[in-house]
Amino acid sequence: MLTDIVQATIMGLLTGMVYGLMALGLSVIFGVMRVVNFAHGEMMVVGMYLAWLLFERAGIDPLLAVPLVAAALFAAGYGLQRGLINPFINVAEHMQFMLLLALSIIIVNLCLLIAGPDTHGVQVDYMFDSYALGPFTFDAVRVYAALAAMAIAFLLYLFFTRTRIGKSIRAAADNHTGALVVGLDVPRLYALTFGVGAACVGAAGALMILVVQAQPFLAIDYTLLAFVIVIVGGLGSMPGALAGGLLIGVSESLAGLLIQPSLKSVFSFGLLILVLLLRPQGLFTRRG
Amino acid sequence: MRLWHRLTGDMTTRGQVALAMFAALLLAAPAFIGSYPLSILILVVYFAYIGQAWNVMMGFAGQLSLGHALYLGLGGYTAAALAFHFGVSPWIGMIAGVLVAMLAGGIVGFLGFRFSLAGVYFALLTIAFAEFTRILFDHFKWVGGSAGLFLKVSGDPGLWHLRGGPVMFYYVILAMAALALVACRLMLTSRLGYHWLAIREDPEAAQASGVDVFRGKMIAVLISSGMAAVGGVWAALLQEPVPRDRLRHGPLDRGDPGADHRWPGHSDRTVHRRGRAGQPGRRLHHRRREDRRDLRCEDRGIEADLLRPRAARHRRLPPRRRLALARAQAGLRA
Repeated sequence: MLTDIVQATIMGLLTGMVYGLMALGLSVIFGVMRVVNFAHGEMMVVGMYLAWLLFERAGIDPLLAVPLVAAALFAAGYGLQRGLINPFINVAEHMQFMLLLALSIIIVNLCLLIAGPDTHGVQVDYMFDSYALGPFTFDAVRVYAALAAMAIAFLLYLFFTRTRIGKSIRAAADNHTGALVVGLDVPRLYALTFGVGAACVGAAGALMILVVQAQPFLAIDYTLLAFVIVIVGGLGSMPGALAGGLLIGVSESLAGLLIQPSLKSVFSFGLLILVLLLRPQGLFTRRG
Repeated sequence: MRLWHRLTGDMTTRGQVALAMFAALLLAAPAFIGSYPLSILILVVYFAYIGQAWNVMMGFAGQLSLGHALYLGLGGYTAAALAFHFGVSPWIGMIAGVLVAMLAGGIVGFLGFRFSLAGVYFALLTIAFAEFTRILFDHFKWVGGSAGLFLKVSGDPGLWHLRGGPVMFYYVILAMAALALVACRLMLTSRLGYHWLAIREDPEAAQASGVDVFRGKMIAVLISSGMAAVGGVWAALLQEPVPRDRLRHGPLDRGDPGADHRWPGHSDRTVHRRGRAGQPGRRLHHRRREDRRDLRCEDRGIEADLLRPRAARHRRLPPRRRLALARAQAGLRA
């Protein structure tokens, strides 16, 4: 039993890293622009479909497709922010939500229209491989996905701390007026941010297709999951998003093992309700 | 006369005439249009009603609820379960359903407003409660779990049992929508309505000028959830009589994937998921292929997905993952 629990925890941690990357995208977008991306899971599913398409049509391994998918999602996110979302940055919150909810419905139904309601998975060679460590096994696909997710999260960290653009984005997030005063092109930075956020979630989608089969209706689950993770970790906090991803990944995995797989999200949502009520700033952030 | 003025406000005479003509058209419509346009019209009026329920909370009091499907589903489930288990008339079940939904709305509202959650936090709280309950209902055997609650066919269709053809359902929902419109208009022009508007525009200023903000918001969420529950009862009961011969020679035989839906002409794709937690009502009567057997047994019903319909049950572990899992558990090294 203990072995099972540790095994489930390992699986949960591995999946949780990909969840963390997904939530990171949401957190970046919110942290900088204060835009709540209700179409987040939809972008994830678009990433999954793109990876699947690249695999089916061009035989590109999803792991190698990650940069391509991320680039495509970056371009889409950049354009979306420039063309559609920018005018909504300073309007009432609910109008923003409605815009992004509408966007999410459009994306899901486009996926449905194009790819149909059936699930699509990729069949890579190493699909059934696993690594053994003592009594525990590590699914190869999960390990690769988790490692890639962590690598991308590290790249993102470097981007925000080491590059000029990353620093400008943080400056614009910290003080909008100040950024304008020193001559930063804030709308462009916002578009870049949205692009980076979309690229993150797209990459997470491309990794997720290794573990889960793509299907349009996954989108709503991923959106909610991303929200749960980000709220639990603290809205706008990047380390919080990663930690939240791990926490939710493990909790889902353990709930699936110990109680019932179909009940696993109850715990995520229960946790969300508790955190919202008692610690709306998130579990891992100090500020109230 | 004052009441009339409150209802019409500063609407011009021309507008009033146009409204009256529109109402007359809606009343007369079933006599002139076919069954398919009627099914669309039923949907239109249904969404108008549900929208009105949501409007009380968001439009009047400015509280964004994305979890209204919760109240819809609770209302529908309560009435349907009472009818299923005890043969209670849906109209009585409706009262129970409204009370249950108002209780849920009250809890969500109380927690949200007491802990002063605003904006996205409140919206997420409403989604979280809706999702939480939906998943629990998937495992709630008394109401059929994830397979849904299939209502028994009673021998006596009629208004009392809320069983009948589309025309009856059309007039019921039309009456509900008209009532809701009038009631909302009256509420909006009452003292309470002005309080709501003040809360919506600026809660702090409203509080400062003596409006009980918490009370106003609570009343809004209670009324809104109650109204949504009534819509849910209607939607749960919305079934046309399914005589056997009709099923055998009916649309099912054409191999139309959406033929067993409540709305003739809708395919699986359109009805699959009409939206998400935020929007009231969708895919109420989606049935999967394996459920059709139940339908042929003349059983009809609602699904757990009433709470937030989507294709949860389509997500099964595919064989290859099952194999991978089995191998992983067996500790096989590849």
